[in-house]
Amino acid sequence: MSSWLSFLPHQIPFRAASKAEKIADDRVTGWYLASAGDALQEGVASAREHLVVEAMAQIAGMLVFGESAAPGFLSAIDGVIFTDPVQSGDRVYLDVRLVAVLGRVSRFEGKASREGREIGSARFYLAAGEESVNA
Amino acid sequence: MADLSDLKRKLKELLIDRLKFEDMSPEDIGDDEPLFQGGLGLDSIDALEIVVMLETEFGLKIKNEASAREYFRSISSLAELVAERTQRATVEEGK
Repeated sequence: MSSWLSFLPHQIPFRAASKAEKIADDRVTGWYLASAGDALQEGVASAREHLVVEAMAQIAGMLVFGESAAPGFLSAIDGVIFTDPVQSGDRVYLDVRLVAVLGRVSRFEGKASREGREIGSARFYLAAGEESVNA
Repeated sequence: MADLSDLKRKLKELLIDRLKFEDMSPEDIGDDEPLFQGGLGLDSIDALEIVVMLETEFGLKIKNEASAREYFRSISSLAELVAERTQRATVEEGK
């Protein structure tokens, strides 16, 4: 289901996730690749860490929106912690778990790791649009 | 099963902690005060936090929005849910 990313409304340079793989109904993994030429990092503090969380949200959509182009959006972020900065050249592994669903809103927990070591985590929420309710 | 008033207090403490209500104490939340519109003013994100709280703390699963609407009205209705489900689980274990 890596084609999920091609369904996202965010495409380059707004697509942060480079790969997504559904592991279970409540778990998806993927990659964020930090490029030196990443236009979105310029002039923004912690831009790469923001993009890692955005990448988590983009792959998480696979679990609740399926392979449709149904409208959905990142509705909230909470508890973001990074212990190491993300730098150019880093390959950041993303592991996202669907924790709870209620109506149109879903809650996720994501972890980011580099070379096998966890460097960050976040909680975030996705909300489905009116026409895409399937939960 | 703890006394219902103890359970209500515990639920208030959990809500304050999980929803990060700084400067609020359990005494500030009325047992029958609406948790959502017009009361504490919780939103859909907070409702999901309550879903996770019930599962983590009490092993209860809320699977649909209609159940949430019914049980998430107030601390009293939440306490009744926890007490009822816990009692039911205890009876089933004893069979």
